[in-house]
Amino acid sequence: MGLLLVPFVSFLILFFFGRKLPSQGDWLATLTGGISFILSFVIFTQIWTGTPQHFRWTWFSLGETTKTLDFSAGILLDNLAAVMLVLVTFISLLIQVFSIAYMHGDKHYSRYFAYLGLFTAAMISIILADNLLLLFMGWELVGFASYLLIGFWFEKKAAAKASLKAFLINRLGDVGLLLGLFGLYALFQTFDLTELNNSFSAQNPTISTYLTLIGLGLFCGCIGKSAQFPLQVWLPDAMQGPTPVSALIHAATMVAAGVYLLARCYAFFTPDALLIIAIIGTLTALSGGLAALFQHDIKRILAYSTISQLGFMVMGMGTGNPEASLFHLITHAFFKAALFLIAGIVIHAMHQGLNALPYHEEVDRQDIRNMGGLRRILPITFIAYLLAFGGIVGLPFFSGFLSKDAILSGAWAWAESKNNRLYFLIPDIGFISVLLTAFYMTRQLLFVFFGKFRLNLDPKTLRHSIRNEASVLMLIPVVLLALLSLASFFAVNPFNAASGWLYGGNQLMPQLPNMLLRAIAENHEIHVYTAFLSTTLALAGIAFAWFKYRNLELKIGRVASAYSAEPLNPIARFTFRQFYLNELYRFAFIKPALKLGKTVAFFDKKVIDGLLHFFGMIAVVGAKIIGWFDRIFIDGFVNLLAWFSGSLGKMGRNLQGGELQSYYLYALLGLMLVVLSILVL
Amino acid sequence: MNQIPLEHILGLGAVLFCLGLLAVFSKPHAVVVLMGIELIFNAANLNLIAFSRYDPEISEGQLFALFVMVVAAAEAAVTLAIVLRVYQLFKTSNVDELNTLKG
Repeated sequence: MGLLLVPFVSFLILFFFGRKLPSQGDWLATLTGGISFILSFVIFTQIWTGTPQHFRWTWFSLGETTKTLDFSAGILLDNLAAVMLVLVTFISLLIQVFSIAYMHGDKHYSRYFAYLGLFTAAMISIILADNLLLLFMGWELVGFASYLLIGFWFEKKAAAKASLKAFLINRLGDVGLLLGLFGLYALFQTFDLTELNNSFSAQNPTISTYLTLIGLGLFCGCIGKSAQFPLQVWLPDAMQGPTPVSALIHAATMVAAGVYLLARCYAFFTPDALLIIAIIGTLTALSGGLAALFQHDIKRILAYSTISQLGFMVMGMGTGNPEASLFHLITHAFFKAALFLIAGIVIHAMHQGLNALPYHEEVDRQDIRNMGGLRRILPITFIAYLLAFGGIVGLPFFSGFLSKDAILSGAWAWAESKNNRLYFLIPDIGFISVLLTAFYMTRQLLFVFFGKFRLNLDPKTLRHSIRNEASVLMLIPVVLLALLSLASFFAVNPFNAASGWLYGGNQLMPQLPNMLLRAIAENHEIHVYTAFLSTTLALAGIAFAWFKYRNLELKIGRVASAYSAEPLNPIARFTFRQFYLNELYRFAFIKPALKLGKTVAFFDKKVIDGLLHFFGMIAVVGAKIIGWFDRIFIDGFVNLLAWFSGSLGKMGRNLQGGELQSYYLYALLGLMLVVLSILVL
Repeated sequence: MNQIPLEHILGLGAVLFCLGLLAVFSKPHAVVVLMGIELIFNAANLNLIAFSRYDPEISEGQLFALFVMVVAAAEAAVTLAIVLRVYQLFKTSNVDELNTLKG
């Protein structure tokens, strides 16, 4: 509990008082980050291989006293949550340290750290939640923090648009998630994960279509959050945010929340739902890899690569190997965060070097065609990049090898257990993705670090100072993360993930009767085969890229914007534009929606407004008539009365007019009256 | 000698009286108003004299008419003096403008 509160308190303090704190409160954010990391590490040591802890209390109650619906809230600490906790707090701590140097001098420095605190708190609440409702709240909060951080430089129009896009697309997935939650509640009257798991082990298979739909609903949330195939378009645009944010949220933690959700709800998925999950994951892995092939933006390449790796994880889930998928989640978090932070260092260095140039405004700092030869200038960064590169490509001795191998052999065994050859497409496409990953990563490596620096500029100006290539605060996190992509942190035998502490022992998801894993363990052949094949493919990808980009045809001094923005080859352009998914959505959804909006507006204007105008006119005419009546009759009557009394008064006044002759007249009239009365009476 | 009928004389008197009243009420000038008053006096005198025909011995009516003429002469003197004073005070002898009597 305290763990959850620490980053949140940091968020509140920084958000409201950040500017007044010394050095704008970065030390506070880092301190709270450190405290949460230490706390979660303590929790980890207590929980790991121990008994899961479960604290819960009643959250709120609904309904009458006779039949109340109690909603509980609580914390579920099992091995999975403990590992994820350490992962999230560790990476977020490193990234806060990195950000101190990266964001230095930014206008909204303290607000940035406040948002990071909010994000960490939300992420921890997802991990700790013991029921789906609480998890959903954390889920939404995470999305909100992501929205804030993508649009952090909201003065840039692209950033503001990207944040909106990410938020809206996530909403789309959340609708499905919400529907799934409703369905689950309708069936089992509880959101509690432990109770749900218990009910599922005792459920009857008659309602399985319904369950498939529920599972797909839950998976929709994952599609949105983890940027799976039809909805992955927001993630590349999310790169408009600050680079450490991309590392933390859009590579390591938040996008993995979808995979975490799948793992948490794994028992609820029917075989049909799992098949669809596997297909979507495979498609994502392939499409992400293809889209990354010809990108020029250093961050966009990594973003597409993230999509591809997330596809891998989801494929692992779908093919009945959630442990492998979680294992890949963890290894991927480390090396992808490292890669993004390295991209941050490179971009930062480019900024520093370019600011001295007169034409620096036009030069894209993130275009890999403007870089080159950075291995001599930034040697430590280069070595860190090589480590993370080994991880993501899946070379032996690196963590990515272990986790990818686990997923692929799982998928292979899954396909073998089916009786249809078509199922082998899924591991096959997985292998193709390995090849693609190796290709585009090598391409990036060659463009950024090899060859010669391609701008008319002394590359030495890119260094932070003469002694240091970059700020120490930036180098330490990068080196730490890059080292963690070595296999030896996860397994003693670098060729067998099952020999490690994390994977293979049924540690992460003990509630599953993991038949498949046992099958893999027994069938050693598949394992060796996949390991061999994926290594070969990775090496082939590297070699292919090496031969294609070894002699870069780009000229020194020529700015990247001088080249055409898109590849000329139509197939390459097709992948570059991400299969025109954005355009498709614009054409298929946004335009019709706008058109619908316009039609409705037209209907409103003409019909509704017309009707209103008609009634308005009637009312106005009626009012005019009444007004006329008022003026003529009522006012006339009142005026008549007034006039009458006025003239009476005037008459009375005239009696006392002071004119001598009238006095005579009155006297005479009076006299005549007297005479008349005498005569008559 | 042809007797003038009494009704004719009384009619003339009434006409004179009315003319006098008209002058008193409608004429603006103070002196003309006085003239109207004289007319009224004379209408009354005419009546007195006409009725005195039925009283040949004592001729009280004719005497009374003489009295009236004397008093009227005196009254005319007084009112003319008043009119002069009024003219000196208000710089006008128009009775319409002399409206300071009102409360």
